[in-house]
Amino acid sequence: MKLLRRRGLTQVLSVLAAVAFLCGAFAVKRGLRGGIIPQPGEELMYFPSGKFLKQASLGHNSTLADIVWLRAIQYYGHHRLTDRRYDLIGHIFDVMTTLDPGFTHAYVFGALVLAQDAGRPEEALALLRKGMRHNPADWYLAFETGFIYYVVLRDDESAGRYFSLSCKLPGAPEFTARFAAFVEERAGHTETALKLWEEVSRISDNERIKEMAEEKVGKLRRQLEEESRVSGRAGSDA
Amino acid sequence: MKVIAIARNTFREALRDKALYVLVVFSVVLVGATRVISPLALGEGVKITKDVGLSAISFFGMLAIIVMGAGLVHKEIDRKTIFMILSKPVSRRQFILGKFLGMADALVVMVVVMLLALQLVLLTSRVGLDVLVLKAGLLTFVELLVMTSIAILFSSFSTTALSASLTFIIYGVGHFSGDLLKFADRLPSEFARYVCHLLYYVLPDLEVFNVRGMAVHGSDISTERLLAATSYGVLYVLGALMFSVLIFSRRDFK
Repeated sequence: MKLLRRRGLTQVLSVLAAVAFLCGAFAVKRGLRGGIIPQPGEELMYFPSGKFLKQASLGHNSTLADIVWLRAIQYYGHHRLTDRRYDLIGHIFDVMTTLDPGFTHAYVFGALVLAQDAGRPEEALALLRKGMRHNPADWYLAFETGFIYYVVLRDDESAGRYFSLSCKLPGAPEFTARFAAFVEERAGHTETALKLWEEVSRISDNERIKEMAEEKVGKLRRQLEEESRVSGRAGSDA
Repeated sequence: MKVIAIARNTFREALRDKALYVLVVFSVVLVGATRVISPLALGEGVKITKDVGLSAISFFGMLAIIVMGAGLVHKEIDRKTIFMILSKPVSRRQFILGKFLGMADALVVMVVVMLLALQLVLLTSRVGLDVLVLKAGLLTFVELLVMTSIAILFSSFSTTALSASLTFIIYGVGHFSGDLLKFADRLPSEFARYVCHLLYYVLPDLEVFNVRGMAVHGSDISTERLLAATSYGVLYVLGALMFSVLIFSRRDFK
């Protein structure tokens, strides 16, 4: 009886001790939050490089890229809601896309954050160029590059070049040709713009877009004729 | 017939092992959990499900080999049951082959359950049946067969702990054996270069079976690729089993 009572007491004391230890651990953890414990995603700055991680992942590099992707979203969300500083975002997306070079969405999202939120369009373009090197047939990456040149850097010349490249790649939707035609026209490349609008009018299923493209084709043809007439006159005057 | 009897017995033993169930249940729960985190993945939920599902098949399959396969032969020696088996008209070659086939059966069950769970999760995500995932699953299974043959090879001459460690090391090295040639080119010593080339051909190239990235990104996995990788795997398994038989036949159990 005495033994049983002693055993019961020992068990109760063990449970109390276990609960006390866990409460202590919880209290220490709460104290550390915001201090020593890093902010979401900040441990990623200690990642040596994507190349090293790729080797260390033992063939599970794509899964590791997904984990980095989830951390990157947390990092972006946290800084967007607080200080709007994105110092590590370039490194994080570089690691992620080295781990999984076919992760198209990561290039596009990373480039948008770098160009629009972090104000580092050159880094965004470098990330997209890396994406195009690994996925040369992906229209979305070329389109995004053109978009950053057009919207952020206001460089119609380069934007037109990338939009034109994008609309020629397999699976590119019709609007890429429209973008290309519009920007090439703005950049003063009348002949290229004419070809692109002709292409839009040929491939579009939408009647309104077809009509608009045909109008553009007519206008650009007249403009080209005018230009050649002017240059012909200038040539005969000389 | 004797081979089938040993295989059946090994399979039954594997099914009795709780570790197999724990691994399967854990991987199924892991794949299911990817659906829970998918709202946080900004549209990449399906990619994460496929990645995690295929990685789980490879990783947990490998753990099953380490936990159960690495001791397949040594356990019989340790328990002295080997005397009883070999006193019957069973050759050592039949014993090794039976052990391999039994473990392969257990892996078939494991991989099929995990692939079904993955396809079910994909069906609930409105993706539908993914043939590329099935192809990647098939090559992962061949990879697991190669690793089983290696575990049996080590188990035929070493203890369970040692063969488990050696099998895991080969799993690690097997994923970058392709880099050995690049490394060899940078070495100044002729002998070191020769050793690297030798290792490159002797060690299994497990990246041959890794088409998980292709499956996830929707790139086509050609029949030629599937056949070439499967034949490489089958030939490697046969080679490793031959060596296991050779070593095991020369062992003295006294």
